[in-house]
Amino acid sequence: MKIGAYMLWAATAVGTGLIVLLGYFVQLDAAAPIGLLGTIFGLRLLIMRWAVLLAAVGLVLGLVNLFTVHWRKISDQERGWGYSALLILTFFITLILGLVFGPDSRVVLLLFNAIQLPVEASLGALLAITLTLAGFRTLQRRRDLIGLAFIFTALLVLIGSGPGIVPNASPGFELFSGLRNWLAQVAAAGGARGVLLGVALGSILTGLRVLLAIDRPYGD
Amino acid sequence: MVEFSLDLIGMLFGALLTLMVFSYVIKDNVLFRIAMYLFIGVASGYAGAIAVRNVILPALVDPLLGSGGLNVLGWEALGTFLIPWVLAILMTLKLSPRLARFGSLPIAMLVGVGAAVVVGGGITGTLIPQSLAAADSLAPENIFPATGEPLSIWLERAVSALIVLLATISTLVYFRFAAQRDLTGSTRRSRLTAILAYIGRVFIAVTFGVMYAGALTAAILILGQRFEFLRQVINTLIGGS
Amino acid sequence: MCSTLNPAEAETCVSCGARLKPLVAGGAHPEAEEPRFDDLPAGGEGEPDEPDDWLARIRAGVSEEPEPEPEEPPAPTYSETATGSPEWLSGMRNAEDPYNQGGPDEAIPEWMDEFIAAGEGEEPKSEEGDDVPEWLARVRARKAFQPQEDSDSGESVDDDWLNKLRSVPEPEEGALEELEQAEPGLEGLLPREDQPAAGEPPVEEQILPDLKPGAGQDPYPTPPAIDLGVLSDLPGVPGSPRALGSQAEEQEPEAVARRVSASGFGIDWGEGEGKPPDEGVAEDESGMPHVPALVSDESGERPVVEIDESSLASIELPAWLDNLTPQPGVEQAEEFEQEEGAVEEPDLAPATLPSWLEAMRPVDTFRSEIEIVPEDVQAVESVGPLAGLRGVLMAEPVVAIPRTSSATAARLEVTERQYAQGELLHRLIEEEQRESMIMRRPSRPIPLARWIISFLMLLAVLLPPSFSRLGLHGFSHPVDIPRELVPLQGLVNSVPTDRPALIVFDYTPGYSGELDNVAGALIQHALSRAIPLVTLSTRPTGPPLAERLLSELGAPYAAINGQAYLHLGYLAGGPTAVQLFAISPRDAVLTGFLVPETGGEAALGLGPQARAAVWQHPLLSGINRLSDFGMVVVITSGTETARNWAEQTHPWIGDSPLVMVLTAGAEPLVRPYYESTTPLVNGILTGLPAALAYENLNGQQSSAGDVWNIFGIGMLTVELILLAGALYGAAAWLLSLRKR
Repeated sequence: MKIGAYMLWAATAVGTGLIVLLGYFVQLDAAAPIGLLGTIFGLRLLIMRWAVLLAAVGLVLGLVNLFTVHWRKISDQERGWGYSALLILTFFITLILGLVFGPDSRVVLLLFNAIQLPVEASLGALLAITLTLAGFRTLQRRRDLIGLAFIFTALLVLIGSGPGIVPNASPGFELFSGLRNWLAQVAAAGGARGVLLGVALGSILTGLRVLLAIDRPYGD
Repeated sequence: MVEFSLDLIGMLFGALLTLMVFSYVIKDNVLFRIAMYLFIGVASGYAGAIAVRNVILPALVDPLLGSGGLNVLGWEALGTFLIPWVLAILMTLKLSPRLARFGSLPIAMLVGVGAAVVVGGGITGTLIPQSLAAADSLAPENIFPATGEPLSIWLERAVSALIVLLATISTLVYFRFAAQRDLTGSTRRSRLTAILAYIGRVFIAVTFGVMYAGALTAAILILGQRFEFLRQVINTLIGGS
Repeated sequence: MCSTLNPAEAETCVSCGARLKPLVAGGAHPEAEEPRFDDLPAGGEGEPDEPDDWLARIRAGVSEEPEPEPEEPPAPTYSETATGSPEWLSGMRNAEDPYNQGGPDEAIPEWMDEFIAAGEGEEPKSEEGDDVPEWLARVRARKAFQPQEDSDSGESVDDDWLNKLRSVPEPEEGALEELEQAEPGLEGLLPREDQPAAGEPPVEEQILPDLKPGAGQDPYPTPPAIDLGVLSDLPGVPGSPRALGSQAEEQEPEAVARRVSASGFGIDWGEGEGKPPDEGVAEDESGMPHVPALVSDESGERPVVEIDESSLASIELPAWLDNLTPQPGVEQAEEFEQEEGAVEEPDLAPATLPSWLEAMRPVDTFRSEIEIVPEDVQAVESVGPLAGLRGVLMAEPVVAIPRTSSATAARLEVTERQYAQGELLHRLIEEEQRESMIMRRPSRPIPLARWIISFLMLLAVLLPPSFSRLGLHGFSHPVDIPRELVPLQGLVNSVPTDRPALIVFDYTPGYSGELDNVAGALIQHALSRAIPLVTLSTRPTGPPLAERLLSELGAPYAAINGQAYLHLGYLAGGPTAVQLFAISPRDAVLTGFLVPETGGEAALGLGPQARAAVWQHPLLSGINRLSDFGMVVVITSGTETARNWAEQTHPWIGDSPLVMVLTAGAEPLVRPYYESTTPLVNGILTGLPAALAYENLNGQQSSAGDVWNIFGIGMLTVELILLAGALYGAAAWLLSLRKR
């Protein structure tokens, strides 16, 4: 595309973005605004509806790409193409059943409860073993004040959170519980606030670069 | 006698998949991969079905099939029907390498709206409130003791406020990676910045330690729930209930 | 020679003029019969092939009466110049070979008149008005000044030019000897200080014996004179001294030394009688030696060409001959001479090349091992410009036959750069031939730590059901109540029951094991208060999770779908959708999930009425904004989702409280929203201990208590493992410090 199309894309992004951004700084009453402000408000709602629709379309396009990738894997007989065949088979079965009977049909819910829920829950359960192993090796791989602070904070929070080495009814549990609360609500809260501010600043700067057409991730 | 209903079959299949996933503890194997690809297929198919049925069809098709229909030539249809159709079709052109450039319009709109939402929410929801909250740490009502307040409590409150403020500032300083070039040509932070940044690293480590403990707690509970589920399946098969 | 096709009868090539048919004495066609020199007519017999063949005419003039040449001046009477004129010139005329059949057809050049007149003792005729060349005029003028000298020397005035040749300045000292040593064949050609010994014929005669007019019959046809120039000294070139030297194996050394190229001197001026070369020094009537043009003797006899050294002494030699230095070949020549001198038999060694020619030889050329056959057995070239000559190198034996290289040819001169490149190439080839080592896969270490930890944790979670059998009491419930639980309880208690509460299920099925238990405490509280619940999710898996949890928790309270709770379904779009839902929920959600009024199960096919019926449900009546909900509860496992809901909903939530039900890991990053001056989050519930405490606070019995023992034993195991790892790491660290 030449320069003309590129400017059209930038104008679209900047224009729609500014209209949506305006709604954050102009507090509107419960009653529907009238006049120019009302028009802008209505346009803002319309644009966001389009964005919601396009997000769903984008999800479907992502699934199409997923199918294409695995279909190519099957066509080229690459290593592990059998798994891709299984994926495509289950994908089409679930999709067709969901489109025909609806995602809230009993059959589809059965697939969800029998396959997706157990597998995803089991993966979460495996996370416990992985996290425990990582915690066990922390001080072996990072022998500094940072690693020390990390692992001892975790131990204190675990001990003070619930039953464990120090039972809830024991006298010492109150100490660890208080320590745990102080760590979570004071020390960690300060650090978390700083992290949140840093993340917010980064997000705002990135968004402003897009709204000012400095960054153009949408291409030419 | 066990009545094999669909729910029981589903439960048995779920237990089998649970064991296949747990086999990863030994090492990566075929059973684990089968369970993974099965899960991805079902999850993606379900996501596609719910996106089409709950979002796309109601927005693009139902206006035509609804009661009374929709005057596609009217002004109302322009914003609620025609333009969404055009945008959706343009977005699907992204699948074609030759026509992908025509899909840049809806993508640009998505990017612009997303950026505005992030900017607006970040400023009004995080930046200002959190900054005000950090500033309020030094408010007189927080620093000075209240009437009749025990000293220990006041000290604890004051110290906590100061620590929270110190943690906030030092963490922000740590994320600032700007440095000055000295006479030798090497870049380094100023001494005060370096000290504050190191303190911020410690507070970040404490924060992440708390988050790690929370995640571990959740994972332990999930693990217990999974084995509880397996026990229930076994009991069902044994007990027939 | 130029590969041009010519008619069969053509004598010469139409394009390059090369002779196509060999010259045969008497005009015999070469194709008819290979001419044999014995059969060749004597000089003068037969008509020349070409009317304008001056050589033929010369020959004819030898045997026949000289044809009248009307335009020619009277032919010089060389007989009169027997004492004065150059004898070799006379011999040229009287050459016996058929090729010396006379002089050129055209008139005798005027410059020859001088010599003729000198021989006659008369002044050359010079006609009035003749255009005398300048050089000739100078010669005459010089001659006019030197008549006395010539007369004093006792020689005829006619021998003026010959005297000049004799008076050629002597070469440098030693140069003559060097030249002789290099070229034995030149020995007789070089002017010598010493005159020929008494009794010996003059130098000229010694050198050019064949130039004397001999018998008119010359069985050896002589080709036209060819100015070979430098080539005359090359081997193999007919007439070159070397060739003569190599061929004359049977000749005496002296005779060989006196041989001279007959080609340059085989001109028969038409006078004198030529004699066969093998008859010794043939002299014509004027006494000139006769040198046949070709040294070709098929009969095996070699013509002996006597050369009059005296006649050659006065030959003015080119200057380059003076600079000749002894070359390696000179040694060979010396040896040759010694051998020649020692050996009586005419066993001639091969002649050596002059030094300058030796220097021209390519370093790595092959040395032909082909023996050069004697000249007398060599075939006569029949075609091409060398037609009629003997000793012509044949292309085929030289090119086609593979030759072995000599030892010296294997020696290469290699520069440093070439050597380096050769080494590089050699190295590359060696690397190609080298077998590549098989890269073995690095053996994976046994995950012993992972196996042990997994076994311990699996053992731990399997143990609680056996507590009673083991006589163990379960873990006690938490006593302390977190400070945020009381406000939360108050919030839930303050929610109006005529307004639904929005429950957002924004967590993945993987966290359902924890969040179902944690959120269950709050949902139970809300159900216990009969607060209508409306579910929503920004994830595709949210609606089924919501249905699963609510159907399970609602059973004790007889809460069923469509009465106590309703599902709005899936909200696509992330933060944008949350903002849109906060402003206008009806525009954000167009259809529900498992809406009971559609039959519980969606009808087959597309049903807009079914899909749009969710907003027509009584539970959602009056809901136009987010603030119309009595409470918003967000159940999430990620901080990002919690932050999005907190940031996007706060301008539109109004007085409705926003409660966060979080996993334990997300609490630190959400608490700042809760603990701020203007909190965006009004209530927070995180972790199983808090949920259990909340249930205890409300006096409820929920699923959280059922998993408390499992949770406890798991926590104990993990704490012990982490403690062991920390102690092990610290000990290793201290040991490493001690080692340093």
